[in-house]
Amino acid sequence: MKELAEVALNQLELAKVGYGDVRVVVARSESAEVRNGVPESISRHESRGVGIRVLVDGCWGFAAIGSLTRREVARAARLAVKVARASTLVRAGRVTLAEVEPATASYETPYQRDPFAVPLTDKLDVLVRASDLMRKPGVRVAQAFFSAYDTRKLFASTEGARIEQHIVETGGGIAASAVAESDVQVRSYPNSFRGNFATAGYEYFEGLDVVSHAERVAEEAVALLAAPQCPAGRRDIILAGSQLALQVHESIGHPIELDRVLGTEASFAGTSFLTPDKLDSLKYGSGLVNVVADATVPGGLGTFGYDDEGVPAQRSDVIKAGLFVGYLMSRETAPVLRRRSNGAMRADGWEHTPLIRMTNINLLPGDWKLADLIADTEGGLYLDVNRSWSIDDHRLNFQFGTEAAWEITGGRLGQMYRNPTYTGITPEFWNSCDAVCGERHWRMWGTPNCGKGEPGQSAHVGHGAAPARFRNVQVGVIK
Amino acid sequence: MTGEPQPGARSGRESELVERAQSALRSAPGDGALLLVYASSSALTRFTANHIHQNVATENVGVTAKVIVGDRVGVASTNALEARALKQVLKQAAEIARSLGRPSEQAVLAEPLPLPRPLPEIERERTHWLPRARALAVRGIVKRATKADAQAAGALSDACDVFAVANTLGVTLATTLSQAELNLVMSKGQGTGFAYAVGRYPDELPLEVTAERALEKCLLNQDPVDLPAGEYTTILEPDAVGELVSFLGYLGFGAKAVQEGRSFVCGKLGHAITGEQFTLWDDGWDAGGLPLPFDFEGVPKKKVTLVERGVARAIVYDTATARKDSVSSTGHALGPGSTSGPMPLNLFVAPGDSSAQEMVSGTERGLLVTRFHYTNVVERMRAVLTGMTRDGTFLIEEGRVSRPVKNFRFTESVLEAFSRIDAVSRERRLVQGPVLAPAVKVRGFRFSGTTEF
Repeated sequence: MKELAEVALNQLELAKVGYGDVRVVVARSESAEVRNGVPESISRHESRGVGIRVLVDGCWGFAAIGSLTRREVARAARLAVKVARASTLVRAGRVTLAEVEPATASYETPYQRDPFAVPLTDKLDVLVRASDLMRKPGVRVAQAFFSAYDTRKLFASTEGARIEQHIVETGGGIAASAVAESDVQVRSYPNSFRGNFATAGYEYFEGLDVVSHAERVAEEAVALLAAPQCPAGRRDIILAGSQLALQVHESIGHPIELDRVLGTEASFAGTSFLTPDKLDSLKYGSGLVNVVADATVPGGLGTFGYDDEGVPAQRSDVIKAGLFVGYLMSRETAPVLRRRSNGAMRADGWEHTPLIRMTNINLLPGDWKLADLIADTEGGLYLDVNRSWSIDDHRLNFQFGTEAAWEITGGRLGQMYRNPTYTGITPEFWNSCDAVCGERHWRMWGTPNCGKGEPGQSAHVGHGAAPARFRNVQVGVIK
Repeated sequence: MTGEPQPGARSGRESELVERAQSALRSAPGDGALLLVYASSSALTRFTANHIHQNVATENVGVTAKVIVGDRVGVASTNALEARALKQVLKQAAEIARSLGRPSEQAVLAEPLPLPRPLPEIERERTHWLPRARALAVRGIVKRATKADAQAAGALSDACDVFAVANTLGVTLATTLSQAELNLVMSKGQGTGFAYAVGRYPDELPLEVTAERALEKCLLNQDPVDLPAGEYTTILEPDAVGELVSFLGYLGFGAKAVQEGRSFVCGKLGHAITGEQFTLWDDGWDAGGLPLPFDFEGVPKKKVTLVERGVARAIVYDTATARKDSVSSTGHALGPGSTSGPMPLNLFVAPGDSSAQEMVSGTERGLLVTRFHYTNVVERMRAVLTGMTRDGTFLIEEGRVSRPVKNFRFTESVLEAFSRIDAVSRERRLVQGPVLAPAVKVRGFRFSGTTEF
């Protein structure tokens, strides 16, 4: 790896670039899906290559090559320079990078069991057992998932940084789809869309104990078929942690990306309502809303040692007692606010240029116990596990669907409903938060499929959340 | 290997990939194997606020192996094409297959079939622009924006993929796919306008026309007014129609979803699922789209009429789902390892006899929607989707576009909306999907919410 990075850097030196960095990445993944007791897709993937980013005359160029040969890497470096030169034809000014101390360092995810060293038969045994237990009358598709990722990367820059990282991620989950003549209802554990994920080893998947949740998940999926449609109206709602994690993701995590704010996603993923004039002035949420960007939290799917610009992982405030105080920043965007990067630049593999991505965007815990919060709710709904999501291109109007909702009447959980949805406007919604559950209910949720950018990139990001209550929210779609 | 059914000449790169795959398959482990081999190159120039902010070029190669051992299947892939890499992925896939305790429905390979006609030929020298040419093209768009005191944001890209599919039953197919796109948003003040163009080669993209279309939208989209949510007669432009139609294809017309009872087509084949004004088919050969003439199992694509004048007619198959229904694959398999089942990827909506202008002039009061944003599924079996309008939503009054309105959230069953189509345009545009889509006029399209811009 190091030798290849030096090959690329030598080319960049010869071209006298203003700045350059090289990422050599070797990644592998393993994915297993058992469907109705049968191993439907068991696959292993490997990918290796080099991504080279340069500034020529203050303009960016990037080239990537799926090869680890010296000749090809040198060619990619020369191509990156050529691409950057072309960028100078349509320029606004010169890119200025915030300072960072060039580090020589290494980082490895703390883990106990290498997920790739665990025999496939052990993983399949768990998945098959869970899938079999979900195959109850009414359940048409009983799925169990396992995924693991192992990424080794070297970052080297013309400023002298040399950083090696080894990131290990593991996760999985189960889902039961119950089917009636004109309806499909799904229940999942611990989260929808293939489960939950963490920077951790196989011990994380074992800890999920998917087998012990299989029968409940299947029973709830079947029960949903007979449950009434969630009625529409303005209600107080309590969001379970997994749903709140996605709420944080869409209505806080994406809007605080400073590159988006400055327009780099304007034609694609959209911009953000969080224009810089709102920094330190917008009352984003109620005083109970405290949010941090924390790339250091143990196990978070957005946890690492250094970002893909060589900036150390860190924790920074985003919302403090309801006040909006900080963006996710890169070395290029931070100087716009006269700040330094808080280490949020990451690329999807060797083949993409880094973008500002969420790290772990965590809603800090409050002090409620969930049981007390439900007991304190006279009338409302408890909504659990995401089913659908959508938000406008300024990140204001959102609508989420969850797998299930439960009526809360007189402080007690009652009737289950199918097809619940809720909708709102971001700051109004967060300002309606009047209770957040405490540490014992708080956990990290991993989103391994966060999309952004052109060409499309998928990032692994995390969110810490505990259940929280929001007052007077529009539930269902008004007829 | 049995004989090759492929007519037409292969390019040098296609032949090389086929030879690599065939050579590796000669000593493949297990009872049957498939190799999908590719070499790809792409470049994309991204711009915002009238300057280039991201400019990238990527090259990659790769191989995916599917190996069958008895009735078990394993899949492995890597991004290398050397003989030892191909051998290694075949070995890994076989190891996975051997470790499985239960049989898989995926333990099937496609038989070689003759292609109905020669594969489309690609002019390789036209597939990519040099970085400088791409930047100059962007400069032209930016100049147009600057002249109107507007700002341009977008992405101009080109990509070329050479891929080959071969299996131990004798399938050996190779083709080259080429695609160029311009995704453009013009903005002035708070107003934005969108336009999109796609083609086989960058030099055939109508850059000026696309820039004018986005600019025109943007200049019309100034100072939008609030309008309440509700049901409106709505003219959906092709980009908006394409998005809804892509979801229909994904949710309903793949055999796996139908076999699992998760499709709105279940029990409805031969019955009306939309109004008569809507006809939809999939055709991987039609040069009016972006041809993908065979699937990732190496089965030539058949043209499949999915909806004919509102009646659900057929679904698409891969080899595994076809075997289950005792029919032939229609050539719609995704890559090895995918669990989504077959998908229609080359969609065409039948044109009507109206024009966009006639639709507007025939509308007393309604809305004109340029495109949707962040669309997602709310209820699968009714094809209820939600999403936002974006980059040009306008009020129509007394037969003319009268003013821009703030964006809406829609929450609507696409099947029900397409049962209320009043008019379909003659003109169609190739939009993201890809879908060759007309504009359609829908009565009572349901907007469930509003936003602040």
